Amino acid sequence: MRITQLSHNDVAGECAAAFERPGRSAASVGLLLFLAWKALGENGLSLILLLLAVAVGVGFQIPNRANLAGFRDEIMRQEVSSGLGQVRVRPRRGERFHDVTDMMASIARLPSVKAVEPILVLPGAIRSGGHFVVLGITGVNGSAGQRPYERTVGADLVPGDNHGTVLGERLAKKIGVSVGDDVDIQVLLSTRPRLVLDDNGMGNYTLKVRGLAGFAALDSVFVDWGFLASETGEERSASALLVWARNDEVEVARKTAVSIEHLFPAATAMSWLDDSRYLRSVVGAVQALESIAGGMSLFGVIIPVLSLLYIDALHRRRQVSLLSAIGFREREIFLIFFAKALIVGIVGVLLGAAVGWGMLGYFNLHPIYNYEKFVVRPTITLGNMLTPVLLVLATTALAGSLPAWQAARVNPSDTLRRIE
Amino acid sequence: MSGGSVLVANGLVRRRGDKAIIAGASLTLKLGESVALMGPSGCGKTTLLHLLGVLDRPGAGTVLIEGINPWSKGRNARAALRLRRIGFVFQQSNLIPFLSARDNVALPAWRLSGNRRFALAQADALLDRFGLNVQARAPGGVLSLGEAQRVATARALVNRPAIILADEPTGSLDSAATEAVLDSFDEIVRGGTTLLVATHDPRVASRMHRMVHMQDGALVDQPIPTTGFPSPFAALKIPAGRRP
Ligand SMILES: Nc1ncnc2c1ncn2[C@@H]1O[C@H](COP(=O)(O)OP(=O)(O)OP(=O)(O)O)[C@@H](O)[C@H]1O
Ligand SMILES: [Mg+2]
Repeated sequence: MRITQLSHNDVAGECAAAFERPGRSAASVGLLLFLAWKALGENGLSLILLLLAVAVGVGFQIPNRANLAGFRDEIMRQEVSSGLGQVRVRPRRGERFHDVTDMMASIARLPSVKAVEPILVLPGAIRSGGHFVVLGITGVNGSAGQRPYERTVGADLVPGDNHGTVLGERLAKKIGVSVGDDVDIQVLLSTRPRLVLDDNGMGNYTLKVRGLAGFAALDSVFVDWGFLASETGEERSASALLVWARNDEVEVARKTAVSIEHLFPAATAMSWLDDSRYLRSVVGAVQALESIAGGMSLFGVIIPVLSLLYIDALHRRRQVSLLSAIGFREREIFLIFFAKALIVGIVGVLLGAAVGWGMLGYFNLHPIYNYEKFVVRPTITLGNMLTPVLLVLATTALAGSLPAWQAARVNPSDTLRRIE
Repeated sequence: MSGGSVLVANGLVRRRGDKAIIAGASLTLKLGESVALMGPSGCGKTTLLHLLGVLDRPGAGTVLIEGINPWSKGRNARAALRLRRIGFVFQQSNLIPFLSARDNVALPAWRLSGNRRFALAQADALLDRFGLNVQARAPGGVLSLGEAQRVATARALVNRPAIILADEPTGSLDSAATEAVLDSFDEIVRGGTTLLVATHDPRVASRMHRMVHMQDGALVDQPIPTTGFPSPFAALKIPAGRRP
């Protein structure tokens, strides 16, 4: 083609029609991405460093969050779902509820409640061979789906089993018994002082060890609730009602507690978080660790990404001015640099997620904590994967927009007069 | 546009600090005309070209490009004006180093048309015309200075602007490369594009239709050197512009 067809009254040439079109007011996305991509490829080392910074940020956060969540979940399992439930209901006055039949029925009808079970705890002692340990004897419902312990060995109690017991593993070891052995148990059936001296107030039983319990119940003695309660003369009495909610959310537990107190003003109901200082501190500590480690790794991303992109933008001031002289808009120049940061962010985050996923596999096989059946395995949820991915991506975008903005605001006249 | 004037600058002033580098410069460029802008180093040629090319805003005075005052418009309108009506060739480092020569030339056309294939076809035709097809795929950063200047000239032309502003385009070239660039300028002017070239080189000036001299921040018409090559600084000793 000829390039000499440029005058206004003599426009010809095969492509001339294209120039008569109004043309695009804004640059095509393809062009901006093309420039971002080409610019990225120019310096391999800084690209690798950028990707590493982003990938490490994600790759570190994913297993860290998952392990912390795994730790919290393990504690929750032991203390709440296989422990005392999400809501604990106790009498406001006195030692126990005398008849929990109606209470259990009304609480079970609450929509957030999955199960409600009584426990009856009486002072007592256990004896086997030469060992004698004073402790609380806990009656649990043999027919319950939910129990306040997790059996690790042997069988569970069944309703009406007045010859069986389940012992905590550590206690069983201490007094030298295992499943199938007999133990002697004494229970102080009435707490009224006048009866303390009376032999009738004391129950003496020889019970067979049906199973062993682990976790939070390592030192406990469990017997059938129906059996224990009827020995006290009040066969529907309970020291507390344990309520299992449909999930572990503390807000659900708190709302359920409020509803229960509303129904039964003579009772106090507390969520697991309000009831246990231990759980409160565990949950708080996990949250703090999550924020600190998360914040630190975001800093670990933002500083290298910001500085590398910033130096890159400075280094490209002449190119930016040329784009401006060619007729690119400020916004388009911003978008080119921002797209660069986004490409780095997306690729880096994907790399990091792959590394993080691999580390999750490793920690699943080699738990960071594994002692006496307390095993912390990473809790892998979409949230635990996505949160670091999105946080780091957002951080990279944020770190990329300052240099992009800086680049877009370059005064082309000042830069172009310098000869490099 | 009055009487075929592509660019009309009137009473331009540009200060840097308390010094007026451009002090009342006026210039009219007609359609298809080529003009050499001469003057000693530091007199303000680059500054003036940036004002005329809408890269810098004058402190006073007006620039009209095809009758339009770009500073009465928004930033996007000024960018559009640079994209469609103005082509720049700087002294050096004209090219985006990470793009090939071909992509460098195609860039303004891609930006304007949104069509990469069309833009590349334009670029290929221009590179062909300037005898640069061999270097088309080389990154902008590895071309020789002479090649890079010709690629930059092709890029300035690709959107068929009304005016090309070239700032010492042959400043760092040997005479053969200078000739090649000047030949490409001849092509441009023959095609009806207006050309303003800031230069110290009388050979460049002698190939233009007319010459203006910058002195004390203002512009003075000068005769084209026809016989021999007078020193570019000769004008300093003959202050023709100061004569009333
Ligand atoms: N940002 C600035 N701040 C202060 N002074 C400046 C600035 N930019 C340019 N100048 C001054 O303006 C004057 C004109 O500069 P300019 O680059 O326009 O000269 P020139 O005629 O293009 O010179 P040369 O032929 O060497 O390229 C110079 O004295 C320069 O120092
Ligand atoms: Mg200059």
